[in-house]
Amino acid sequence: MIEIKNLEKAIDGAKILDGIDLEIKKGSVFGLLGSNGAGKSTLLRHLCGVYKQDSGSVLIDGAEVYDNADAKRKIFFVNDETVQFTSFTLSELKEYYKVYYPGFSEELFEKLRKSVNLPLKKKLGTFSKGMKRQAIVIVGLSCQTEYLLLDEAFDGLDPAMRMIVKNMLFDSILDRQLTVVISSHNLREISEICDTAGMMHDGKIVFCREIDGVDNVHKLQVAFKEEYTKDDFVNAGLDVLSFKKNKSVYEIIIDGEINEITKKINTFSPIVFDSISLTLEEIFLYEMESKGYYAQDILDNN
Amino acid sequence: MKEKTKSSPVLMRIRENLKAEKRLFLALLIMYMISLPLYTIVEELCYKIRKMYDYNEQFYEHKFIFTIESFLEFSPVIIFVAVLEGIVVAMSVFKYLSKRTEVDKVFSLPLSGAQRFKADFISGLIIYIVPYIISFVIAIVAGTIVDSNLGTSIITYEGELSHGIVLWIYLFFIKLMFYAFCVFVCVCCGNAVQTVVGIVVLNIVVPICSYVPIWVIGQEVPGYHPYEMYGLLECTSPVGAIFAMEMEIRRKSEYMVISEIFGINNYEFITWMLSYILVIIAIVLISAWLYKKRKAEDTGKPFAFSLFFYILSGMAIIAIISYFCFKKFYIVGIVLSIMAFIILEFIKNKGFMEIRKFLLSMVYCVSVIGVMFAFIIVGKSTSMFGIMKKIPEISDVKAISMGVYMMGTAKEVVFEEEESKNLILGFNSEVVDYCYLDNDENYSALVYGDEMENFTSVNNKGDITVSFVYVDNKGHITNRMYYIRNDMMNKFLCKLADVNEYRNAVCRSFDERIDKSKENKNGIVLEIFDDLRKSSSIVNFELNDEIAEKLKEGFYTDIMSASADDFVYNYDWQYRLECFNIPSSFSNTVSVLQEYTIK
Repeated sequence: MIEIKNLEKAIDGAKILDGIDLEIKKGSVFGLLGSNGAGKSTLLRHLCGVYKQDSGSVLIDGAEVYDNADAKRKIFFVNDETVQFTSFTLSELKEYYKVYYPGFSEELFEKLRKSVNLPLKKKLGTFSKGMKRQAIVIVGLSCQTEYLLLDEAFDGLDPAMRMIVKNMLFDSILDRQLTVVISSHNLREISEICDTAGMMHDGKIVFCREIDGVDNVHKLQVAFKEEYTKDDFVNAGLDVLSFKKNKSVYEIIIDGEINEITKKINTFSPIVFDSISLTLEEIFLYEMESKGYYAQDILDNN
Repeated sequence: MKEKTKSSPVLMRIRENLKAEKRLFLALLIMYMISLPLYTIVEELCYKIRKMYDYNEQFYEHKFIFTIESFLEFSPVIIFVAVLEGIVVAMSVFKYLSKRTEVDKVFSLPLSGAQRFKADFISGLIIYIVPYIISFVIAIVAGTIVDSNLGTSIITYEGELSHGIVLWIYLFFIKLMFYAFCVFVCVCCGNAVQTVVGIVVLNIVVPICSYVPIWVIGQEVPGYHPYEMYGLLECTSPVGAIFAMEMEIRRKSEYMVISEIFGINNYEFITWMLSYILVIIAIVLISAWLYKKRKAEDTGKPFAFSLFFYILSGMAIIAIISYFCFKKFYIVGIVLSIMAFIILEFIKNKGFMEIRKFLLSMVYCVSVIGVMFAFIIVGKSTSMFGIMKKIPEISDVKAISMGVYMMGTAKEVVFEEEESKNLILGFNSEVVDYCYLDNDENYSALVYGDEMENFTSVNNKGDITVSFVYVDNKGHITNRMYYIRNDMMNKFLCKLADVNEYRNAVCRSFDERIDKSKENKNGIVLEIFDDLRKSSSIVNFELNDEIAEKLKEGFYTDIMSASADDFVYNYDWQYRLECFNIPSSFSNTVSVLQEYTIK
């Protein structure tokens, strides 16, 4: 399990991480969302022991990560750059990491390599961006660590390449309960692969929720004879994410089980009652707004 | 199939580093191979061929010989370049400290900081040193095969290491020190340019800062001898160590007699090696400690530790201030050092700083300038912190070497007997009292005044210089040098002339001169002056064993019965035998000369 408690980090006087609290269970696939400069990469670098926190703790299975070779052996980090490997061949890249990870599997490496038909002896500098990304993911998966951190691993890949990389991940996740943390500013992508997502903004985790749970967010269009405020519904025990009123029509976003919501709304004697489906983006937007963040420019709707 | 690795992480990383830098290793190996072993063989071949041609001029026109001899001049350059490769090696194994793109790749590996530093340091050391060791061993073997001096005299007949071997070993430690310095700078700096500049500056500025202030003080402190403070340079940097070594060799050449008698080489060699080892260990430990403190995000910045920048810039200020203090251009020195500091800050910050930080850094700059001035002033007023007023105790002195004027020539004489040592130490004490007479008056004029006459008044307290070279029981040399009046020296020499050891030394010197002249085909040169010593005639006469022995005997008898005046004042002489003025009162010597020459 990954536990982060009150993590703070400043670089060159700028606060990058401002009191992060996060728990990522073993075997889960966690998506870390946020715009550029939110602190996603910095957080991932703390998780793999590259950065040392100014305060707080970063624990992997109960042990501090920073300067801890044993804890780091459980983690493989794929950053968003590939330039540092351009002078390597795939074979050299494999050898580079193989010595440090005792669980490295040649068999898995060959299987993955052949599935994407990557050459062993050609320099990675001659590969396309997608191929480079595949190469490092293959090596990362072959190391068979317990935790895999991917920093914008899918960005810049075409849909076919994305599918291939995702499938590789899925197989490993299913095979050995691999815990994956993926950072991205693409919600759709995160929703396809992750079971939990957290949103970062200005160095904070704004909110964190299970993707599956979004089915419990409902948009209601209701009309009442009388006038009501948001507080009336909140006091009625409803988790109101968004409340808009246009003349006599109310547009309310509520989190909860639909039957329970219906029962409580009926106590207000609605004239009109309608439930509308929401996209994942809309749900996240409304969640952000309820926390006081203007999220229009945070989420990247590709 | 899962593969388990059983090697330690450090060994694994070393292996990976060596694999990654194998080209660099090979390049160094080739450079040393073409310089060290090949140099030995070529040098010996040239020597043998030269002998075959009997040193004929035609030899030098032979193109083949000319070509291979040219190689000998090029070879030290290759060695120099190979030594400088230490920068490349350190920056290669620690490239993640100066290249941002390498940070994630290296810092995310399952290694602790200590493991990573150890592995990278050792890898670099292997790449840098092993080619040198391999080529050195091959050079010894090659030299033995071609029967060169290097190969056949690893140990000299006196039981010491030959100079060639000493130099190779010395260079080994210099390389170790250089590599340690390079790693230290890599840890302190965050980009490639700063690292290279930092290495160059550290190697040059640190020795300057260590030596120049002392030298500046010493110019106005009686007793100061330039050789005395070169030891300060030894451990400042590899460049400083080389400079100190060169000066030490010069000192030994200058005081060859005393160096040879006391086998100074062994002691100095051991102390050098020990001091280098200590410095290397200290630098490595400091580097390891700083490495632990260093953060991954420091890569890319000019300096990972601002303190390093302030140490370097502070040293630059010290060097500038010291130089201009020597020149007495104090205001120029202050202005230039402030300007240099501001420029360095500008470069470091890539622009102007905010006012508060700028003011703080200027406080630092002014403080360093102030401390430097205070150091020089205090140094001058306390005779270099009391050091120059001290003279050794007789119990600590094994021998004293002095350049003594004898019979018209100056010669280095080594005194070991108690009587001589007491006399010389007493004289040194008198000289110190004389030189420090009216101390405050002179020094205040020197510090606050600009007049050259005051500046020269201490240094020219006399007409001549007198040097004392003390050798202690461990063979360590202490030099003192003073300016004194002629009459003081003459008074001392009159006392010295009564000491048997001195008279014996004069005789030995004369005997050596006679023996050397015997081998001369042209014989011995005798200059005969007229009574007023305005004109002279030169006579060459052949010196056979009989004449030589007679001259020696006659001279010995005359010396032992001569008065002090004959030594010191020596005005009444009409014969000059080689470099010896023979007074008329040396009847025995004169009669031999007359017998074999005037006839």
